[in-house]
Amino acid sequence: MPQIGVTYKLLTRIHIETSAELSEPSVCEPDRVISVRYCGARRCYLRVVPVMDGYADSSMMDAMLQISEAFSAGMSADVPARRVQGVCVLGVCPSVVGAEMVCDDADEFSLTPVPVIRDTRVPGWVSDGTLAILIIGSGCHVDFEDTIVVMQSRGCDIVCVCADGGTRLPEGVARVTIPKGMGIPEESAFVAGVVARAVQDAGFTQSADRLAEAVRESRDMTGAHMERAASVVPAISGRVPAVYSTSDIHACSRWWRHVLGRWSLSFCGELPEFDHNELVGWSDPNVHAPELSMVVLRGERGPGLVRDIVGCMEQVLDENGRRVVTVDLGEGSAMQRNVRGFMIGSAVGMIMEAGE
Amino acid sequence: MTDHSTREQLHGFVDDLERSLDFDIGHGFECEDILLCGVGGSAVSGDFAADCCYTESRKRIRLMKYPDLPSWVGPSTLAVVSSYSGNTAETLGMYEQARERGCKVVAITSGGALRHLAESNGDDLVLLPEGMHPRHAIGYMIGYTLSVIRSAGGPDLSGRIREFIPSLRRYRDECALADGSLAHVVADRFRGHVPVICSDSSMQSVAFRWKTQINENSKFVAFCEQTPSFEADGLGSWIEHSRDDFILTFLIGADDPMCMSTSILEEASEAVKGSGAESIAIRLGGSSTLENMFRGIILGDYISIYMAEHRGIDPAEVRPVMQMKEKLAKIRQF
Repeated sequence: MPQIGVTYKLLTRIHIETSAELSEPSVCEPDRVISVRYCGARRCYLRVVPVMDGYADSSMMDAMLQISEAFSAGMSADVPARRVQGVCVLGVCPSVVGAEMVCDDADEFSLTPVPVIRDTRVPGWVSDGTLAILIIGSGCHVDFEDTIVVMQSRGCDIVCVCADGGTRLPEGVARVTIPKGMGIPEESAFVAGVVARAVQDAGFTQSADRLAEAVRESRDMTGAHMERAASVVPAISGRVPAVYSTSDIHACSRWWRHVLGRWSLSFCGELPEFDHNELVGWSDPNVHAPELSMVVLRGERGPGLVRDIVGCMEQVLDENGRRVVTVDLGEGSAMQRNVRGFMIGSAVGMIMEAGE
Repeated sequence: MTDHSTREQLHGFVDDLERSLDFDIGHGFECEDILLCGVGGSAVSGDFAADCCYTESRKRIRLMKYPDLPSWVGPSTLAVVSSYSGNTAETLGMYEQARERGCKVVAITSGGALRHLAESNGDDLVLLPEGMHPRHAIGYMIGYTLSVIRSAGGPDLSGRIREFIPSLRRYRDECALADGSLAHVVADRFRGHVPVICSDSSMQSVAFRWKTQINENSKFVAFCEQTPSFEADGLGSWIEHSRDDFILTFLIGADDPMCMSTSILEEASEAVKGSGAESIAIRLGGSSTLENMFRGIILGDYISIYMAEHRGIDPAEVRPVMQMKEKLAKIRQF
């Protein structure tokens, strides 16, 4: 993250906004060396934003900050805290991806799993003592009435995260309302915050604390996220993308699939499973579908088998003539990598929208 | 061209299933969670078994395809570790971790390092017949996996499956083997397209199997989707961005306690047809979702073989996977 008083060499064009008392805003070209004072807070002495097509895109920066705030809003939501023995999240809308970030986090740290199921059917093991969180995002027309009946008959504690006025809930079902006016990215971030808070307050694991830390870190990297996104967009525009990530951060490839689905058919999958079957198909030219394009969100945790596997996979694909777009999510916890992947994916969506 | 053994193994799927259904490991397992560990062809059986047990199992059943086990895996977990060859790096990694965490372990394999480790460590071991293509040992692997789940207090599906074994043989003969059968027709329709298989979530493992079999046997990319989530996130994209080099294929089963969204699948199929996008709807026609799952496996496997035959290639050959294994072995010095 840019630090006060440190000199940087630019890799991209930036727009420097200054306060009214100082000099006029200016645009710096790449390869210039400048000293920056960057602050992610709203009231800045000097703010650095990426430049797209000659215009300082502060609207994108603001949109990215709003997503960060939506994470925080979710974590601050009033979720009825209960001591339960287990948890299960059900939902089918795009914003369920927020819950999937918490699922990945729980796999890394929790002694109790947080299964997230994209279905309306209640698994057989869900029973009395289960905190059942239902996600019904805005615009979701799938009927969950039978789902709630089953959950209630089994004695579950039910919390429904849904848009205000969009869903009538029976008595006994707690509601957490998705604030009005949120787009899908903000809604997904809000859901992540709510589920992380619920899981933490139920005593399972410190998901909310880790999410808050990951969001803080990501907010400071907003410019870098935008840069990374800007470098990816040309490689996938006009193509049919399939996005893959390792299973421990499956949420972020799901998110990218949703974002890219606005402009094209899009798909997602997981590594290393890909290497045992899909690798064969992707190593074929598939001349009947020349626009197929593979995106790999790389962020393996630490050295080891998975890092070696993904590296070998990229070599095999390259040797078989398949170019892969790789996005490096860096290292760190599943929550950190998922939040970075989520924010970069959201930035990709904004840049593609701006280019329409 | 498809060799005799591949055809024989496909044909033997129902017989293999029947032989393995009543397997008894000899004792029960006390556990809270069942973790089904495996990748590739050896994971399909776990995925399928998890779908079969979804509504009835009082134990959490989770599929694991990643060599770093979740934190919550421990002594109250039964780890069923499947690798046909017994030498798959990711699966051996899962086996090692399961042992370190104090899990109860059952190994399902035909040999290799997994067999050796299981025997040395005194784990329960279920032996698969040797000499099969890993992904065509699925009949045995499904039967054995369901038997182990039963031993751990999961549902007993063997009686229900046995009831429709004769129907599965008829389905295989009529819809997969006969000249001009459904499998031939669909394989022909898939030519020049990227198939995207859409099923109800109760059969997501079957749609995933179709995807992997088409990739491995016919060497074409394929994908899969599930309703109801496809209806909420994905259907719109198909209607707006449909392409004539992709074909959406709906696998439509039955409405019964295992499946709640056949109607959503039917509606999605109509919506896509109305948009002019390339699509086909395949009605599996079985008496239950459970039977349709097995019908789907049979049909999809044969479709992938016929697609390979259209291309004049050997479905059994998987050169890129071998390239991967060679590179990985050099790095890891196995």
